[in-house]
Amino acid sequence: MWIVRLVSRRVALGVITLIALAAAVFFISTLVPGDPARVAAGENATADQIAAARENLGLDKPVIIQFFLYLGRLLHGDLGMSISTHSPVTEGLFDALPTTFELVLMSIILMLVVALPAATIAALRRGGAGDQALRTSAVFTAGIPTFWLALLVQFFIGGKLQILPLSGAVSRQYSVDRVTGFMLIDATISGGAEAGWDAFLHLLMPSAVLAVLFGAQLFRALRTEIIRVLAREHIAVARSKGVPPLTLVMHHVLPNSIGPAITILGVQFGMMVGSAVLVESIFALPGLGSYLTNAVGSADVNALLGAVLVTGLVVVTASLVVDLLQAVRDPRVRAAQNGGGR
Amino acid sequence: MTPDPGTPGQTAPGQPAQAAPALDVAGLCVDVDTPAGRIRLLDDVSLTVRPGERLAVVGESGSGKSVMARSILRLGDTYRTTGSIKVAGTEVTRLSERQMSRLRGSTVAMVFQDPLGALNPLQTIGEQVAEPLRVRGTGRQEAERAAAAILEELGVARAAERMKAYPHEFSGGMRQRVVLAMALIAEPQLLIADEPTTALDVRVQEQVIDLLHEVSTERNLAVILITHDLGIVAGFADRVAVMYAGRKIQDDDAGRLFREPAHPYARGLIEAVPRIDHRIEHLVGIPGVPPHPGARPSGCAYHPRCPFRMDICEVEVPAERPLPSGGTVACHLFALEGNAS
Ligand SMILES: Nc1ncnc2c1ncn2[C@@H]1O[C@H](COP(=O)(O)OP(=O)(O)O)[C@@H](O)[C@H]1O
Ligand SMILES: [Mg+2]
Repeated sequence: MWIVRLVSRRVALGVITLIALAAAVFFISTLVPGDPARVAAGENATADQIAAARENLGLDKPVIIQFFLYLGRLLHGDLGMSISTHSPVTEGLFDALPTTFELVLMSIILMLVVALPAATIAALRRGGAGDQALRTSAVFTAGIPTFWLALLVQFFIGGKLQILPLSGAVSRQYSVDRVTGFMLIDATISGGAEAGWDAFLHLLMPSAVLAVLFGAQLFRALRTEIIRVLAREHIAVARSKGVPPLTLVMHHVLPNSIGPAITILGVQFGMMVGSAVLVESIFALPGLGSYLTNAVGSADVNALLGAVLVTGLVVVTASLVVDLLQAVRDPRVRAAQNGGGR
Repeated sequence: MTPDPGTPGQTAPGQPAQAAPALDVAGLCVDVDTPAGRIRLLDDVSLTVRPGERLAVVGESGSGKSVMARSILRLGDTYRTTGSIKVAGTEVTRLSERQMSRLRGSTVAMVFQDPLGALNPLQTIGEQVAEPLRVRGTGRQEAERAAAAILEELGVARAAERMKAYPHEFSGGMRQRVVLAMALIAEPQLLIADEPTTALDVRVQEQVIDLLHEVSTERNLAVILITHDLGIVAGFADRVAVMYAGRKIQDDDAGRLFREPAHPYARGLIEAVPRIDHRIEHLVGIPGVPPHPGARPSGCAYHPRCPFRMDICEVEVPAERPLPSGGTVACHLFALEGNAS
């Protein structure tokens, strides 16, 4: 079965990638100035207390041993204690990740909802006024720095015009119990549709900022590929069979055009998690971004390693999902996984 | 699907059901706008194909054969078309895009050159063959049954099973049968086959041409076979139209055209056909190359290459004149010989 081969191959590759990533980040972090034991022991700790903390954290052992100890704990899903929050890193990440995923997934939905029809229209009417306008704005938006766009949008839409809430994940009037960690779902469970809508409005601006930044590349890739596919003979054949325009686009043009877009989205997913760090801090969302910012600020090596590793895991998973989607989309990719033939 | 030669699959209201030619093209001109200005791809082409007739359209590549095919189905989005194109009595130049897509497949269908490129790589063979019926509202099961039946009829063994396969799993010849099945499933009255065998190897070429001949006879299907290979024309076509530089320069009964080609270009083409009894060295080609549509010679576009060129050929476009054989020719030689009407 193609799916077994594909997944096992990719998982093996992913594990190797993640170990390499863990090693890189760990050894770099040992070079970072600052003493984790001193931080862990607290500000007014005595020399004895610091020494105890050092032993406690395994920091007195050689670096290489520290790394293998760390890898061993990783296998049990133990990312260690955060030396700044004094709680397990896994727990902290578990709290932070859903917010970031929610933000990134919402951005991707916005990107697709806008870029797919826009690219289709631009490609079908290429050279026309709409195409020119769309292409110009795509060039323009791709060049804007993240924080600048986020602040600008927050200032005008949230501050001046007050169309959308300024920041935060949900209005204070709703007390939301954590169930899934996804604010849209939790708010709806705790406060009904009204609270869910409120959370949605809070999410709209930050996710739109991300979508604008990453959507331009998606739009351009889609437009180029749709133009290429439109020139293929099987499109003319489908038309000659009497396939009406909308069916032509939905059944023949788009399925054949979204391959590069899927690959791009897979690569962008990791980059979006990175950019989300910045966007979250501007819009005061309690995601991976604030967790990472804390970790860096307090030389919290375990938290830092955990966050980076989880980001790596996300990237590896995203590329697996991309390969799966491509295989589901294209029978030739499945055939190649099976070593050709049927 | 059983062939039903007597009555057309569907008749547009207000159109005569009987006796309308399968195709009636009159004064067709096709222009396109390019960065270098407007160029004329087809110039004043008129052509009639009777129901069930097999017409071969021949000419060197670049002579406008594909442009003609595409403009009949209105597939050229950049074409500026003038003149009249009647398919089974319906004037297609005046149809809306919706009406046109209803006509495509069910009244006039097309087979293209590259059988792999002609299939959507992401859909199964079955889905693609059934599609012309599905887009017309036929239920899935019924459309699939019809697809299996026509594939079987066209020589795809174990059709019901192989409909689940994808195009890349089929050989070139099998793909061309699939393409033909897609074109025929909605029972058109006219099939345009644009170089359907060029991409295939010689043995398979013959099979496909034979198959075309067979379905044409069985279904009383008019076929326009476009090719630059005169070798496959002789056994297939009732009639041959010769194209040169966007114009039709001769149109004649197939047998007569091969025996006594009137136009010097047709003569050159026929002499260029390799024969088994001829040694390769004796193969007579036509010197020179056909002109680009943007830079056609004045008068008769063939005059720079024509061994019989006269002064008038450089200035005046020859009109189509009837030949005593019943065909037509567009050449000043025949005006001189007193064949003008
Ligand atoms: N859309 C187009 N724009 C510009 N030139 C075209 C277009 N389509 C075809 N042509 C030109 O018209 C001429 C005839 O093309 P075509 O009909 O494909 O020739 P063939 O007889 O080989 O099928 C060629 O010179 C080709 O380059
Ligand atoms: Mg051609």
